Amino acid sequence: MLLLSTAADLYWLGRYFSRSQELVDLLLASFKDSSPESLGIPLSITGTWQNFYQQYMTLNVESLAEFFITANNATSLTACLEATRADAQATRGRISGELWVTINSLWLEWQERITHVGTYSDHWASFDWLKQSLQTVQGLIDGYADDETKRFIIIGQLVEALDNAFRKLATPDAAVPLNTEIAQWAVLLLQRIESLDKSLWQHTTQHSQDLVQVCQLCSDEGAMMNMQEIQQTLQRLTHSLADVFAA
Amino acid sequence: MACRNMAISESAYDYFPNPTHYDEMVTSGNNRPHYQHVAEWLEQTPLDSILQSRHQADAIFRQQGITFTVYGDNAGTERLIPFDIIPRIIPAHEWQVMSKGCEQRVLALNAFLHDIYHEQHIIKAGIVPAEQILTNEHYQAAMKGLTLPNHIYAHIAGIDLVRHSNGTYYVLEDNLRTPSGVSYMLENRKMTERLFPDLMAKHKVLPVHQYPDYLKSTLLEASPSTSAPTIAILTPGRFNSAFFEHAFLARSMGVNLVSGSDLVVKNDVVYMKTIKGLERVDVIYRRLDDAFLDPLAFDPRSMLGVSGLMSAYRAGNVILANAVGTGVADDKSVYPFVPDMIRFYLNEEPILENVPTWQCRKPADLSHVLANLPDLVVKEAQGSGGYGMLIGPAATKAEIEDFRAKITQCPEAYIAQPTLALSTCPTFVAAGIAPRHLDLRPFVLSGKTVRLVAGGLTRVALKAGSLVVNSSQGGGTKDTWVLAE
Repeated sequence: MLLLSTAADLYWLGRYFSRSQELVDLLLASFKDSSPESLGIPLSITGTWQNFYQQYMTLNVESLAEFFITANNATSLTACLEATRADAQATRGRISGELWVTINSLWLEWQERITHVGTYSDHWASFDWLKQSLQTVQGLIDGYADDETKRFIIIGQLVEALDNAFRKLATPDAAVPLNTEIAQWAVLLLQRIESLDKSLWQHTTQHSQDLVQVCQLCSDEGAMMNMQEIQQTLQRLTHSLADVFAA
Repeated sequence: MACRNMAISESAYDYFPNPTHYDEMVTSGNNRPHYQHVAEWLEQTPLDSILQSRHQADAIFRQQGITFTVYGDNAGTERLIPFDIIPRIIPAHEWQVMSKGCEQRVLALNAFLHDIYHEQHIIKAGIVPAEQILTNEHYQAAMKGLTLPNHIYAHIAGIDLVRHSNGTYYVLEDNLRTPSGVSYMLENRKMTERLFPDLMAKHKVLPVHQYPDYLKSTLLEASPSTSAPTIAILTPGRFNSAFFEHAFLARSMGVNLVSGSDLVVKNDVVYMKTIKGLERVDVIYRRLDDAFLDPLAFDPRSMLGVSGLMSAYRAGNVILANAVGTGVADDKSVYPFVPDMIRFYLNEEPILENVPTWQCRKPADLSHVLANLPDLVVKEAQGSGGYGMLIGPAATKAEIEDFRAKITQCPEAYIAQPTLALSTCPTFVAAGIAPRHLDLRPFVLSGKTVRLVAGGLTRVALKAGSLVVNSSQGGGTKDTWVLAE
């Protein structure tokens, strides 16, 4: 029987893990382009312009890479991976030994690598390695046999994907997912939530249904997403999840 | 193999134990029969190869997160417990005596616990002084009159054994509260099987993998009135030093790992908060000390426990393993009476002996202790983990005088024992293979029957001459091989 606290840890494991995946993809894309506009996209999406310029004089590939490695940045890859690992550790009585060892090994290797990065090529190699390693973890999650455990990791991943999509929509020059993709994520999220016990998850299910409706409307009509309404709906959903976890 | 008067070898196959200590592998310059294969392996294996295996083991333990959290460690909170790849081997006939002795001891201790929380016959018989029990910090008045299923209090016990220079095993102490270390016993075995399958195949080593099954059976039997009891392991959380073990056992047994905040008591029944609502819990394998279990009953500042848990426990609606109040029986001031308990409750002579112990609360013992501090090991009567000890022969004058003042100020808080010449075992250290002191902790499970897996956790002091084997103070562990014949 899955504890609420474990479900919460698995949800956040999914969110931080996805955040790591999104961030490393974003950074690799920015490095590839390396124009000022491109380099600024990760800072815009994470809302860290001010934090960046408190630590660095110039925005370039090296400083951007370093900023998103450093533990001094709460939105950095290191911070996301550390949180992922912490949630995996908290749930190691539940998740498979293989998943735990893979996440833990990834964290240990990352810590080792970031002590040696200096040049741009070092950063690129580390981020590229991280991208591959995160895909390995995703493979384990996708093939996970325990439905209850997997459900909450996936809920976390879908919430993070939606949150990230809306941030990208609000960021000029960012590559945004299609409306149909966003709508599909909302549907997948609802499928995961609505099979939960009605007595506990009623409000969460309702907010998830609302989210699907709003996303579907925009997708069907090909209209610009009503960002404020969607983000508020998503926020109500995440708040209701937090309320149940804390019950 | 020659036995020369050098402490540390320069090659893998040179091993020179101190002839005044009992060495597990070597006697009078010859290998003991049960160590023959290991000795040959050490002779034939280059040091580099052993070092490589050690590094491989460390890397695997690190990847698997088999760590130990050390409080106040500046190097970081998670540390590997050093694993020494050279096994400690126990012949079958020695284990038979040890296991029977441990079983006998735990039976007597459980009988003692039932007695002191009920009729107190052993006190009335004048064998154990009343004040030793009733004023003991760990005696829990809330347990008075509460009858537990099968009269079992210590469902899980760890009995610490040491071997003296005469080859005899002695009980160093009993651990009846939250004994830990069994996960390292299991992981060490897996590591040895992985790294040295050929060496293991030359020995008929008794298995240990069945421990989680034994433990689960023990916990199920603790609640005989419930047909399919729900078990949970109660942990202080992932920052606790033994969290790895809590999670390991939960996974191995297929039970939930819970924190205090995961549980709620309603109408004297304990429930887990799950994704499907509240689910009743029948048996809690608690890895919290008594003081933290229930803020309504014990320490009100505790954020780790469950309000109302004691009420549910007294109502008979939940079993706690181990029971509340077992600490009075593993208290070092009660330890000297265990042989008497065996005679009193079981009408048997003790199979395993106690280490001679002076109780500083007794004036004659106190005089002896104060007159002989440089030669004695002095411990806090209610301490654990190797902390708060004085090892006289290794202490400075200042340390000895400091302890003298403490003992003089509060004599009842201390016991003393002679410095035992703990046995040594070949251990891989920086300079090669060297003798290091070690102990053994078999784990005794008490359900409808008493169960032990063969062996236990061998803890080894890694510093030359050190007698402190506790992992919290830099000790390591070894795989323990009990031979089938």
